[in-house]
Amino acid sequence: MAIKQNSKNSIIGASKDAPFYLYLLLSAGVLIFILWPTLAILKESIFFNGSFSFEHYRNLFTTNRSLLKNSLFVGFWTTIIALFIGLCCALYVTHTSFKGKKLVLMVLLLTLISPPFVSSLAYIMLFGRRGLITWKILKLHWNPYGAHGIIMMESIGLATIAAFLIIAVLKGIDRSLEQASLDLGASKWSTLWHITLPLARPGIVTAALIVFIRSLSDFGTPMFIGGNYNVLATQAYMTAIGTYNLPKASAISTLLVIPAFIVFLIYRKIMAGTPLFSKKTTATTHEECSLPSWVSTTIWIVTWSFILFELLKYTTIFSGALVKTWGVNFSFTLHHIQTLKLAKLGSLLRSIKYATVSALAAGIMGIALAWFLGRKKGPFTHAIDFIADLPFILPGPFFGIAYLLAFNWMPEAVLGTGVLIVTNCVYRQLTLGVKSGISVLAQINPELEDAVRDQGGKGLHVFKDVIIPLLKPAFLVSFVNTFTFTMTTIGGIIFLITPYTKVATAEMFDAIQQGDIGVSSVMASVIILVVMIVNVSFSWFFLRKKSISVHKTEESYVPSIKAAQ
Amino acid sequence: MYLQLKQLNKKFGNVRAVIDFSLNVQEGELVSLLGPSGCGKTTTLRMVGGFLQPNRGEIILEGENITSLPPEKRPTATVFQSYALFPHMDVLENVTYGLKFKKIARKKTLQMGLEMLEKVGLPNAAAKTIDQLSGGEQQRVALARSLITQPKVLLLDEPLSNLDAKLRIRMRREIRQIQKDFGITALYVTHDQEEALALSDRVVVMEKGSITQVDTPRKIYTSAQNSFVADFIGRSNIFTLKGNKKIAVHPEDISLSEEHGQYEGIIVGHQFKGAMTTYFIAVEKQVIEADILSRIDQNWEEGRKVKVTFNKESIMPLF
Repeated sequence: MAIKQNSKNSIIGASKDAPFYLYLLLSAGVLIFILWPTLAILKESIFFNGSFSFEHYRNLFTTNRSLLKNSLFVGFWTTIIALFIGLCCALYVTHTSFKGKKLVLMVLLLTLISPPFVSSLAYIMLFGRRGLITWKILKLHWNPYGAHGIIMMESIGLATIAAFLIIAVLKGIDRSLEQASLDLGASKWSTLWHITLPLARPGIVTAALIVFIRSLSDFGTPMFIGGNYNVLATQAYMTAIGTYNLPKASAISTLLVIPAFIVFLIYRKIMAGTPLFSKKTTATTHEECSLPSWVSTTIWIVTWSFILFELLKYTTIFSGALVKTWGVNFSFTLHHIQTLKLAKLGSLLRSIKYATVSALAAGIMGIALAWFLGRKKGPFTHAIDFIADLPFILPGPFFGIAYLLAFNWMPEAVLGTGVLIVTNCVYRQLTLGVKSGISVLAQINPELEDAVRDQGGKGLHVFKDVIIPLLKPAFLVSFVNTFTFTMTTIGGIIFLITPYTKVATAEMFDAIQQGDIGVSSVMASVIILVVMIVNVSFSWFFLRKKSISVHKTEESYVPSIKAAQ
Repeated sequence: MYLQLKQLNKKFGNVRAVIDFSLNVQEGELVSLLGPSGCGKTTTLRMVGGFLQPNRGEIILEGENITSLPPEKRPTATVFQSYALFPHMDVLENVTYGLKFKKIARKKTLQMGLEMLEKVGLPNAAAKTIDQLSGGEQQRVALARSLITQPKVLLLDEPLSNLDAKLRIRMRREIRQIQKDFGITALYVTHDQEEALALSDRVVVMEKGSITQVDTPRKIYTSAQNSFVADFIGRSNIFTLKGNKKIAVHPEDISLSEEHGQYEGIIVGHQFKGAMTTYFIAVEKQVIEADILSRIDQNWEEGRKVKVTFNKESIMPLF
């Protein structure tokens, strides 16, 4: 009872102190950099030749109807397959007694921190017209391009995030419930079907949502391996960048938001009242596996096939960086790496710079906002919370074009600093920082904050003496997360890149488009390396310091990474 | 009067959590707020601490109206139910935290902190982290942190509820001792009637946001004014007399006899508790409990007819 009262009333009598103005500033940021661009793109999409009209949308449903159909088709199958693979990997890690769990987790983490369309690149290298496997080894003449390729690569790319979300819930399940079911005479299959999976439903539903939305908004994969098969996201990209028809591009990417929003609403309905991550962590008993043997066999096969493919993928990319001409001449060369040194190093350094700035900003703003929103200290917290959440469901191209429309009036000199790229990344990742902040905060007794006031400290002291030190884990999570995101993202920022602000992923994107496999492989490898170094050193720093909240934040950390690509 | 609470009212939405709460507390007095959960006792305490703003009413301390002062400006200090010790600071840092805001030299504050730790019986704990302390030790650190700022009123919010039964009894003696040593005025919230009776100068019994009775522990126990207090404080038999008048009688104020007594009763059950045996007796279609000193030679079996007498001085007429 005391807690509830506290959260409602604590700031009374001292509302106009320093934290209050900080809150105003943060809220203004959320409104300007999330709400305003969103409104700008919606407005743009309903103007045709300068007057109000739904013409763009009508066109989409008539002439471009097949695009919508294609997007939904790909999204549907990608979700099904990615969920299946993800579920298998998750069960492998949590519910079997197989060996190699650490390796599985490590490979999963690796795939989580690599740039998008790495899969497409590897696909082209392995199964393309000059693919190592299809052409060189099997001597096949097949057409790798089309819906099947997109679905395969997106499924594999998105299976990881699904796996981590499901692992998080499976770990939180009280294992004695499963034991009780077996004890009461249920078969192993019934226990899995009626107990384990229903309990894991929040994670499975969330995973499905995220996979579906990300599949819809992914334009890299269809672009590279779709061939003639077009989807909405590629169309949005080409309309905006190719023909610079921004109203039409706005309408297309707004259309992308609609299914995403519907899925989001369903998800809210299903999840109402179900916490995403159970607060109680139950000690996992390492008992014999409680799955039927045919299920665990399936899990074993799916998981290892997936892991092997992932390993093959990275080996391919890394070796692609070191051979002369992939598919034709496999002799060793350092030529591509030298190209990086000469011409592309600038964009790599720029990427690192943007990523560091974004990460710092998102980390600090995340914990500050988490405090205001989590403790409901300040006016309109619900509205701000909702708006800050929006980028989570908004597809990358939508948010990118939105920024283009809202902020392109800025002078060249300002745009040249990359400020739009940084803010775009910060605000897309902000919600995850806020969420992890709130989840850490939920474990911090609000009486600690009262104690500061009681002892004579002001609001600012509460922030400085209690919130910042205790939310350090959340800051680190947010930092690493945003750093990784900024280093690897392309979907949103490709619309904002100017010749002066070209980043590494854009360089890689161009290289793939030009069919320069050597340079693309080098860029991909270097990005992976940088992100890996940052992730590993931070998690080392993290785990070394035994903090009460490490375990909890790790859990929320993993699924949060790149959740909204 | 040292501390005056005048007509305090607090609403949460439509729920009236505290209704017209008025109380005068003398300097050096320890007053308990006692009641079941949800009775408004913690809300009252938090209003005194400045964490909640009353909808109506005033809080006067030494003649000064402090009703609208924020917690950091109030000369009150709270011992929180969870202790609210800062987990990222060591014991000494916790204890001296409040002195940071008093413009006292760092060296001096450390000295004061060590002295305070000594006074609460933790002379060697200064450099320990909070999670190295036992529950009782954490309790003392919380107390030390509150006392070091020399507050005019000490507020304790169920400070013993996280301790086990034995430690609770020891700590309530210690808290009382420290409170007396410092001569500090204290408000003490608890739902444990035995605790309230054992350490208070006066007890305020609350029910549904209102005060039902304020008295010394002895008076509260021996002359409860209504059935809520009688029922909440200790065990009482609420007995309806002819003409629907109600009285309350404690089980130890009932005697049983084979020959003489006011009422006829039949033993319907008993529980042996060591020194005492509790008999359940049906009297005029009501079942009452009587605590009788256990004696080897005397044991009434169930079904047996007995004569029951209520000790005249101990009968509490209820209103």
